[in-house]
Amino acid sequence: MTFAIALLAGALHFTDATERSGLRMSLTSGADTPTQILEVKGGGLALIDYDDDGDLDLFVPNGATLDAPTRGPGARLFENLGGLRFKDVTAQSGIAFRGWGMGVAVGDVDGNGFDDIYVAAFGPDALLLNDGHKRFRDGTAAAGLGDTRWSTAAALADLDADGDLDLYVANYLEFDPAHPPPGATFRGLPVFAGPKGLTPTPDVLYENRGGGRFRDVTQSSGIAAAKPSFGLGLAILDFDGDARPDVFVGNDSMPSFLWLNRGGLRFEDRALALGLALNGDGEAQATMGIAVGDVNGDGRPDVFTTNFADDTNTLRASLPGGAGWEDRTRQYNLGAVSRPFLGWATAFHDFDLDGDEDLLAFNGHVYPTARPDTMDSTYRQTPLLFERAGARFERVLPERAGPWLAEAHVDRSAAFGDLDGDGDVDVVVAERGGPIRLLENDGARGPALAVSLRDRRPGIGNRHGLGGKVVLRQGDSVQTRWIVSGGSFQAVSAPVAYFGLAGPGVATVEVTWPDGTVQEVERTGAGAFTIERR
Amino acid sequence: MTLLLALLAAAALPRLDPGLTDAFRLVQGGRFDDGRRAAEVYLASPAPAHPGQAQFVIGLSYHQQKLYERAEAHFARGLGLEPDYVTARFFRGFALLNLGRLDEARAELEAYLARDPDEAEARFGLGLVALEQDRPQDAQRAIESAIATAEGKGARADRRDLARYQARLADVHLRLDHLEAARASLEKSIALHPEHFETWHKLSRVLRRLGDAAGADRAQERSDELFRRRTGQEGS
Repeated sequence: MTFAIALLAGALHFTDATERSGLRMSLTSGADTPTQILEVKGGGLALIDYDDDGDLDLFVPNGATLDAPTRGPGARLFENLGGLRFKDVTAQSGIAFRGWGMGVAVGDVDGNGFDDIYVAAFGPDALLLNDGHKRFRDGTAAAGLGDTRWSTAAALADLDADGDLDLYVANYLEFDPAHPPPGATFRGLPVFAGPKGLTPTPDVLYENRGGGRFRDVTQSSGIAAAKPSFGLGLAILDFDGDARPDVFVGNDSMPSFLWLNRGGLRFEDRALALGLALNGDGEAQATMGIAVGDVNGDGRPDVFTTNFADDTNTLRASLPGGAGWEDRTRQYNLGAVSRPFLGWATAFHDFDLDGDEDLLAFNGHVYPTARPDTMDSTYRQTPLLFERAGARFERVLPERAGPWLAEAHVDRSAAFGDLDGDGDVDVVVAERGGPIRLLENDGARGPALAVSLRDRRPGIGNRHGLGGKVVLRQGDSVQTRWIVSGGSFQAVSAPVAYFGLAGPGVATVEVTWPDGTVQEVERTGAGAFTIERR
Repeated sequence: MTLLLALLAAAALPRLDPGLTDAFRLVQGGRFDDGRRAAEVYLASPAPAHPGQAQFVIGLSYHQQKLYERAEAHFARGLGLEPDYVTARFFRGFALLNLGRLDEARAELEAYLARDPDEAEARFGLGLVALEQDRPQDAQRAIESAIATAEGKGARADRRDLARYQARLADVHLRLDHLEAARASLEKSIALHPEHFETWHKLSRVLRRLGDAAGADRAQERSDELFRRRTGQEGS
């Protein structure tokens, strides 16, 4: 009986299922021991239903090395066979990207009904077009893309409300592997240089002119007005509730941007005024990972960012009346606990399906010399898992959540989605210079609802409703999710709103599509379902 | 460092062994490695009278370098040897706070205050712990008592310390959404020490929430200017 009650109550528990999954891949990102900043930022992951069969496949852009930065071992594509089994289908997919991949974006940019892949890279970025027959071809040049600067993150969204997907690319800094900058010191120890002291590169906004042909609108959009910054994190959704998707860019050690969408592909950075540029102490942070959730239950997005060690992660909660955001890290118990950790990928999800969102962050230092006695931190670090407990978050320890939580890695990217179709959110993690890991959510099952969006109107490329919002109402319970484009770190998670249900009764699901159109559906019972727009 | 001297001179507290004075002065002067070596020489001497204090000086050297993990280990070792050397409790409390070990930090700072209730910084530390633990009323009480204690010193009160206390008190008011009180604390803080970018930024945020956009812009400009001056990096 005790066991049964535990099951009903839900549990936060994951098991490393990599070995039996068939995901056999070690990520390349420079040498085993990094000596330059280029080697410590990557690389990304993307969950993509590339064959449109209803399950989530995995794309890994992969990196390269300093001696051959554009000729790495190559990207990989793994097809989901069901039952948490994956098969490497790279060879037959036509994917031949061998650059130093960083962030990934996924969406149907050419409107053929199948999701394409954009890789932000050190060196030329790449657009891999999906032909709908399990094959990709490089469409970079024809699309007018291929920025050769160091791009760290990319996200797709319909920013001009014309139905197709536009592209924002966050760029980092100028770096020449053949002539790396001289080293620096950190806490008296010699380390590689950057980002401070190096030259940041500006971000780029591309308008999709239709059919997957892009043009650079950085100047006309107002994006060029920003001071070039060390862009790392990226998340697109409607931050200010005006039915237009906005762009949040986390800049490394510089103020972050919040590009509010003013319509007509015009943007204005309001991060400083609205409280998203700096932490509550007025300091710029490293801002690698980005998680978006409704922590304070007001239906507006709250923003959690991961940062450098010796600093804290930061939760900015929305203020009443749309007055912006305020640093409420301490209030939610997310500050001091994170000081030894250097954080990267992160996400809010209701992992235990108990009706509120928990928080997971992956960590790992950039300096191999990091030790508690030299930097109050370690090179390899464990993840941080928090359970929502009343008004605060409480750290979950490995004794409860499984041994994976005690294992230290040099993690970077992570993608979140239900990989085995059992209703809860699983995780794929990419370690710098280490194996890809699959963490199966095998905690107890509460009733779960997974809501996908599908815009089937002719000519619509934003089929998944990227930038949209889904609200679930059931009795007194109101839960809000966003279909975020970007987020986590350099990753593409499933474009699905996952909910733990309060019980078996009727639930009302309200979808706000990215253009502000609202659709309401009643649903009884758990399971996965798709809300369509025709 | 002013605080260091004050603490070590406090009549209510055990005095540092004169045999460790040189080691302490080296740490005080920023020669941390030399200070540690001097303390280790003392430890290696035949039957040192105060090995716990030597561990404290070593811990202090790491604390001043913001290496809190290592500092805490030495403070703990020192306290294991000399539990009555409460100065180590004060610093261990702050090291633990920086390491996120909040309950332990609270216990150490309370133990210190039991011996030296007139130390404003320890009261302030308890306020920081309470703020981290989302006990805003306790934080308010602790920081207000730190301010009262510091102001009780009259002309000897350190204006920068008082400015820090007022700025953190504003954080408590913000946590409670008491915007006017936060504004008042921040303005007091700025009057005491106008050169801190963080306080101007916070004032900007509060003024914006209070509807004073022009005042908020001016405060943020001042914050940016001070930040640039501090870092020497134009605009970053």
